[in-house]
Amino acid sequence: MYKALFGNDVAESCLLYIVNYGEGHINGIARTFAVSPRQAQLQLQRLEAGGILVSSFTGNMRIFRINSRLAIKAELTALMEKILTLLPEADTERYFRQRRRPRRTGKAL
Amino acid sequence: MRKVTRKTTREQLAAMVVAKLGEHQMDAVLVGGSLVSIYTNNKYESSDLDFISPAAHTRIVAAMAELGFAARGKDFVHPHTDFTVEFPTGPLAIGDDVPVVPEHKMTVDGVEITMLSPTQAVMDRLMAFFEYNDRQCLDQALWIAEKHPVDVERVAAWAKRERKEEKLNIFLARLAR
Repeated sequence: MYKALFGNDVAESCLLYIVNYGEGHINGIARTFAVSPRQAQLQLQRLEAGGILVSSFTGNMRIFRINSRLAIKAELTALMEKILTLLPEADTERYFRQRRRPRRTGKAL
Repeated sequence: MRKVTRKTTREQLAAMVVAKLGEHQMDAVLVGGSLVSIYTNNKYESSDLDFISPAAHTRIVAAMAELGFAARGKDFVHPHTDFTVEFPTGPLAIGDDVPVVPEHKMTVDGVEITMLSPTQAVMDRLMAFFEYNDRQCLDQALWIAEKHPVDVERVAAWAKRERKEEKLNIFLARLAR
């Protein structure tokens, strides 16, 4: 939507995803937006190198989050939240409404 | 007593469960996603009915069997309905508020069903947004608030106690739109 601001679509998608869900990993983001893991990885690493994101390992998976020490964290988050509200409803439903709350193992979806 | 059929609604089934438990001197409070369905006229459709009950599980199993429900894992299933019934472990809690006193009652087919109020249901949904970033639950909280008066000051005070002001502000901003 505002890819000019972020450099490209994938970078914007990565940031929207991470603000929306609080965190994200390469394969999850790539699957969600139907881009290659390599494309997602490049943008996540670029954002991390720029201090926008930080990452840590959970098991063998690298998880990216907004850098809590980022001076403009509140403003960036507010901007992304605003963009999330402007997305077409179909996009919101498709990309940003994945279930995140727990569901007991074995329980039908 | 009425039998469970394909036509049994969520509310009717809840009443049947409460009535049956009552016959066995057991109480239960309706919680969870089914409240969203009830409070939003099915804008969100949950096929689970979750009840919190202090009764022993073995007694619940016996009472539910009289309605034709069989225990499958932690769920109760019935051959004539797609609704499942579950009795999650209590006590009733919303975040650090434990125990919670349910503040709403709904009468269906002459049976009084104790349940969370719209304000409490909003807090319950917001808890999943606060803890798991579940935006489905944020939407559900907003849908309830669109349809029912909700004590926003109370929700805000609770969110502050949970130290979730940042996410509360996302809810409040969307509520104001």
